[in-house]
Amino acid sequence: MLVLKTIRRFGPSHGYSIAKAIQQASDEVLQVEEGSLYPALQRMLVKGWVTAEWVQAGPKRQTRVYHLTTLGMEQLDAEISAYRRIAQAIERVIEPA
Amino acid sequence: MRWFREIRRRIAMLRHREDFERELDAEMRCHLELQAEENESRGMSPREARWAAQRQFGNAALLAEDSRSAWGWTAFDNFFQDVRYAIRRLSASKSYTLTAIVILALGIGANTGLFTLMHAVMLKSLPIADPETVVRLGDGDNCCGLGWQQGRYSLFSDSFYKHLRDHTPDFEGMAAFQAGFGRVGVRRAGMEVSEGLVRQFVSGNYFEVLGLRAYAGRLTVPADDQQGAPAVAVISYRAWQQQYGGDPSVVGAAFTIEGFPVTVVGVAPPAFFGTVVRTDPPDFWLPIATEPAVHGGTSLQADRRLHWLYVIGRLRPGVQASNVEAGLNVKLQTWLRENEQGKTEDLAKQHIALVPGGSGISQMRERYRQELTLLLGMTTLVLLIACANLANLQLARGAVTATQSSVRVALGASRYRLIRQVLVESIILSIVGGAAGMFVAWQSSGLLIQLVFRGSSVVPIDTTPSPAVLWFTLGVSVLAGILFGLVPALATSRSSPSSMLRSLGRSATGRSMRPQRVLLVAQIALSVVLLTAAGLMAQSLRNLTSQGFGFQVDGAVSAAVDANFGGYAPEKLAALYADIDRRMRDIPGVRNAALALYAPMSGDNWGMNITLEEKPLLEAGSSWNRVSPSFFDTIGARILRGRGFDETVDRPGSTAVTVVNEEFAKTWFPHEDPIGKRFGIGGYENRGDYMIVGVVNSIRFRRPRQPGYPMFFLPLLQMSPADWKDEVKARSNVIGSVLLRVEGSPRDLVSQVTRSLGSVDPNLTPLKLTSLPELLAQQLGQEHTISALAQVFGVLALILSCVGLYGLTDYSVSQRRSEIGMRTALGATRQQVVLLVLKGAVTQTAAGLAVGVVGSLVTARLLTTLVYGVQPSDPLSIAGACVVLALFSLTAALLPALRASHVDPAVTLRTE
Repeated sequence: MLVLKTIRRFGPSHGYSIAKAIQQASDEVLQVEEGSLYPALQRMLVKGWVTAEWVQAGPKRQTRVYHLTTLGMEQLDAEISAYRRIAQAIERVIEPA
Repeated sequence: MRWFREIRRRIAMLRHREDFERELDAEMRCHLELQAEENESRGMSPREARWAAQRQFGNAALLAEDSRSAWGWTAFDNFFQDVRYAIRRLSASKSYTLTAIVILALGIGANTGLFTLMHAVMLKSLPIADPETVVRLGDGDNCCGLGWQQGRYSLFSDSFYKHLRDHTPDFEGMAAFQAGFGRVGVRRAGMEVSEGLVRQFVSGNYFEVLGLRAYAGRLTVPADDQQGAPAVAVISYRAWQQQYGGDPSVVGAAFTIEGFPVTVVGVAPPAFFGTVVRTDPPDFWLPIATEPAVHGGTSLQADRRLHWLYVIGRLRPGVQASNVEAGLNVKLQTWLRENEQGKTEDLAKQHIALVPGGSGISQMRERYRQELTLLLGMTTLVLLIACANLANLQLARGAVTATQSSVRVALGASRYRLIRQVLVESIILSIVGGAAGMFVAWQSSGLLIQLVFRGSSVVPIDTTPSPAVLWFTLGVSVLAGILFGLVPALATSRSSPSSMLRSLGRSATGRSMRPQRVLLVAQIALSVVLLTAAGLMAQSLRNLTSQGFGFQVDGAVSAAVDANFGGYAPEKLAALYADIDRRMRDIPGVRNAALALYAPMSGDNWGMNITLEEKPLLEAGSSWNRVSPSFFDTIGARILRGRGFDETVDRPGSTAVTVVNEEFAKTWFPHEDPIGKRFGIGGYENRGDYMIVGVVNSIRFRRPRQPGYPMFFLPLLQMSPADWKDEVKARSNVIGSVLLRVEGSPRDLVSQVTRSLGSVDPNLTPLKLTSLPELLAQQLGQEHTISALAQVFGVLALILSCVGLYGLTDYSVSQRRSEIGMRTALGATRQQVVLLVLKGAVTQTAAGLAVGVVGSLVTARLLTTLVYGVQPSDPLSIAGACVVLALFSLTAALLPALRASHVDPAVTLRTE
């Protein structure tokens, strides 16, 4: 979900920038192994939520840039609303305390 | 659609796997470089920056594997890896692989061969259009009864068939065909001799309903099946080829079939053998409407109370079969009430079942069901033995490769993976073995079929492997692979790396051989069961063939004839028969000759109600036969009381006499002398027709298994003028067989008899000359087959378990080599070493025999109905099986034992 959200917010981006964006956005709270991003991206490729293309980034470097597909958008919306529901529920449970 | 696209993406990934891996790799490297650059810009040294980047990133190799698994092909990959590895391992140990394949080929081949036969006999569809839409009316296996009391109603009269055909709109078409048909004399116009060929009456729409197209000319149509239509016939492709060399002028040619002129209008398709599966399929098909013209006053077609046709049909699409069946049974009840006299409760018992008819009607199916099931059980046991055998081989090999698998475990291979590895290997083996078995089965099925269809002119069975057979073999192979791979697989997975690695380089001694021993005991036990069954079948066959038949089987020959003497005057017949008798006696080597309506062991029989003069109210019945005076002498039966027929006394016109058999005398005259008593065929008015002049011993007449039953014999042509007017009774004077007693085995007997019989009268056709031992063998064809196959499987089991015992003993010798060397060094004699090795083998064999005897006693009950004249738990058979097995297995164990005794202590001690 976070990956999808990041791509939606910043537009097509490559793995490194997604990892960085997630770290910064969460104020470095979510400190995961950056590499674990890649299996996740592969799964999303298979599911068809994102597509990838190679672009020239700088003189000697090519990077793979991920785009969000319509399917990915739908998936993201669905996940966000599901998350909100759960978060609200948790909120309501802990509120009185 | 989503999943579809997903699968497409996955397949794309599989196809460009290398590209994807390279891209992933590049992407990750790029990530690391970017991170390193950033770290560097924060003031780290390049080295430190790279390390930090890698720390942050995590285990790259693991993550890459994780990513790959996202594509979902890991299992696939691993599987191929396993397959490649298994093939490498198998080709590395060639002798093991070869042994395993041979064992499997035998085990699976036996199953495939039998399945081919079963499939062909019991399951296969006829070569007709859409066989699955064909239904049969009635599921009975009755072929030749003519009455309406059938229970499982399946024989129809022509008029009832036509009634159903015209009043059941649920059927697209309904066809009828003669159930019991046989050989008749057939002569092509312009030819001198006629031949015995098989003729069947079928309804005019028969070929249309089956959806068949003529190979040449045309097939019959409903218009041919009308009174007064020109008489036509369709010839089978086989008869056209074999009898007339595929001569195109046969189509349109005139033939005489059973004395009746017809024109052949076409040739049936090559693969079509008719709708009744039997060993002598029809050569000619004639429309039912021609039947009255052929049979004259004894016509079946004209009498609406004679039931002689099978009926099949095609339902209209969308019609409920159960509704149709209910409707048919209502029609049946109405019809029976209107046309038959009978008790209401008997009428109500009649029921037509609508069953699939696409595989034809087969008495073979019914007859062979039990036997084939038994054989299938036997082949399954053979396969089990083969599996146990292979499991043992694999266990032995597993011990050798145990070190290897411990290394794999130590390197992190999961148990699951190890088990899978072994299983993949065994399945590959068994599939290769199955392919070889398929070949074995295919090659040997010719032999099998020869056994089953002994003495038949044609085998309506195609043995080329069909898809069903292929699937069966594949299924059996995979199953066998799992079966014999499982035990070794579990054993391998249990290997503990630490203990194995410690003893690395040395032989893996001390491993328990218990599973091996258990498997061996099981093999021997199963073999005992199989051998006992084989012994029982052999014994019951011997009982059947060597029992007293009431006549001398050896040296008796029967020539079946088709005599179209309908309408011949009695005087003409008398002259003809005398002529035949004289001609037969002129043939060198023929000692005696007789004429008969039915020959013994031909399977035929005529039963009638009789009335006894002194007990006219007794409801009596008996089988009967008309014979020439020399009949009893010729077949070698004994006259027990009174006299046999006498040529000079028992002539047409003199006192009507009869000879009854012992069983007849015992049944109807239990406490009195039957000589001089009178009885007659039919009711009260006939009670005094025949006088008993003699009693002959009971002859097993119809079937070897059938004990003697009441029977009486009448002299040919001795008949009252009134009876001569009755066409049915008159027909009993038309002979069906010429019997000969011959000395030795005269050369050219067949051609001489055929020639002389052929020249007696144009309406007399010699059909087939068979010796009675051969007739008997044909009658016992089934028993012969079963017995032969049972023995083949028994021997197979014996070989397999001997190989197993040999292998295990040999293996244990190789394991105990150092121990044996040590013993020899310490003074053990060769004899002692041999005994030491044999001890294990003997223990296992004894245990196997004990279990096997119990198994035989348990399975014996299943054989009760199959064996003849022997108890299924016959101690002799069981003991025989045990002795044979013990002898063979000791021999098998002796070889490695002897080898062990030659172990050179110096060599073994040096290597230790």
